[in-house]
Amino acid sequence: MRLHAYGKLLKFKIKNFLAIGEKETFAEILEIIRLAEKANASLSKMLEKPDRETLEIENEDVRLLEKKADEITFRIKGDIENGAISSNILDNLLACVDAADSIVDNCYYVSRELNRMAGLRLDGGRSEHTVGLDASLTKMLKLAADALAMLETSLTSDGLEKILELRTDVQRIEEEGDNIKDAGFDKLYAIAPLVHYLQFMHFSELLHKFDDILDACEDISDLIVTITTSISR
Amino acid sequence: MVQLWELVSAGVFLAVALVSGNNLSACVGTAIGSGVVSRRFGTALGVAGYVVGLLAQGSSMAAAAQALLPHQSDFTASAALFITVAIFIFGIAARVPLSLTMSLVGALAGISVAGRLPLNHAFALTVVTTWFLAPVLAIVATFMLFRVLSTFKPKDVWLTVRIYKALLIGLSFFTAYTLGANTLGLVVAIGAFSPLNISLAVSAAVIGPIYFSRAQLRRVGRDFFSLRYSNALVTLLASTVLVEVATLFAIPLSNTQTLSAGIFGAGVSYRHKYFSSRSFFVVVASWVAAPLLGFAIGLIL
Repeated sequence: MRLHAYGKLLKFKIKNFLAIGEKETFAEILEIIRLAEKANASLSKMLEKPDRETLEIENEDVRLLEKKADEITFRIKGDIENGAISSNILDNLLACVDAADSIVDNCYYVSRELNRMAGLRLDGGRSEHTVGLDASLTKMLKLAADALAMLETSLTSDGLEKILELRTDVQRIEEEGDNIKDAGFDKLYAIAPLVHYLQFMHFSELLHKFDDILDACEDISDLIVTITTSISR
Repeated sequence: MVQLWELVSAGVFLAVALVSGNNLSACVGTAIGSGVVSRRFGTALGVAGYVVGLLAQGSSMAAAAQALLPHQSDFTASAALFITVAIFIFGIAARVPLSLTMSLVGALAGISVAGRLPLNHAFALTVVTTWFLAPVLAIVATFMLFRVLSTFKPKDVWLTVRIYKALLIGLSFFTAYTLGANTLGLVVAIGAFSPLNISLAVSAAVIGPIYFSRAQLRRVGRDFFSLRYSNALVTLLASTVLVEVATLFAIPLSNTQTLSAGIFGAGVSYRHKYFSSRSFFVVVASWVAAPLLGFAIGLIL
């Protein structure tokens, strides 16, 4: 009986010893990234089909995803503090978790904004003048989906070369997003006299938030490189 | 009436307890700080290293004790041990890193000179030369090793981390082992390798880390040893090899001296570095002050 207990304790100790806290944290961050991908897909649906029903259903989905991301974030932060993790990368891991959580937060903010705007009698904030802006937002969401997929690969990758390669790709996507955002603002200011000030604010807010999502993706890819380089070299 | 041999045993116990508690952080601080092992497991690992080192190789330091304090009596042995304990406690209180090994060697030499004992000058010179050479070697070794490691591009990040962590545990044990063999071995050798002194030293090596290491471990584990795995490995490896080689030649060498120098070597190997010159010079000054203080007090008493 006692031998069995010692055997179990030894098995637990060996398992614990083999555990890599940093890798486990990456797996937990991956959970948030997957939630972000789902939230991003919901936003795409909301932009594609901005009818009342779709907006409400997707908004509710994003709300639940955001809640779940918050719970995971809280859990990961506790795990990081108590895990088998080098103390010199604690801050980087925490920043990585916060950046991933901020993506889902921003998605929820955007979904509420889309839903709120649909409640006004301004055609969901859309008019013939804002068609180009809708296309810009859709492009930015597509870029975010690509960047999130790359982060997913990066977080599960074993190779430093691959992680560095993915970081370059995410950086390129972020730059592309910046250009779309700038072009979007140029257009928004050009049509400013023709749209309601709420429409102006609405598109300005969405362009900023979509850019924030891409910035967060870039930050995460940078942090993944910093962390993996720091612990393995 | 307290007998002199009781004072010697008390001195052995106190010195071993203090040095094993205070230096535990240097041996296993990296492993605990990086979360590789828990504080309790790390403490047990350090204690095991001390005890195995003391029992396996500690007796080789008897030659050093004999060379530095010939014809030692209970009086001279207890005087040397209590001078060292006093200097060590003063160092802890003043927050100055004074090495027990260095002050003990200084005290032994001081007592020998004062008592006109036939001090082995050639051996004393070898010890002092080693103290000059060891930090330089530690700096060069960690610098070179880290430069070599920096060029290594791991194919599998997580396998590399797993290997680093396993090596870190092994090296933490061996660092404690060399401290047990060299420093603790020298302390016990001063009082003679009797069953009583060995038992007291083993008990002190267990009690010291439990009572005198908690605050140090917390601070050193999280702050001082916030090193990369590779830095920590290289530093511990260089320090352990140097102290082990010194032990094989029965030369007293401070683990903290080689570790501090190793950390400096790992630090300067970076292309971009921020160097706290004040901290470094305080540590270097303490390497000179500790033996001189021990020598002066030994001479006066």
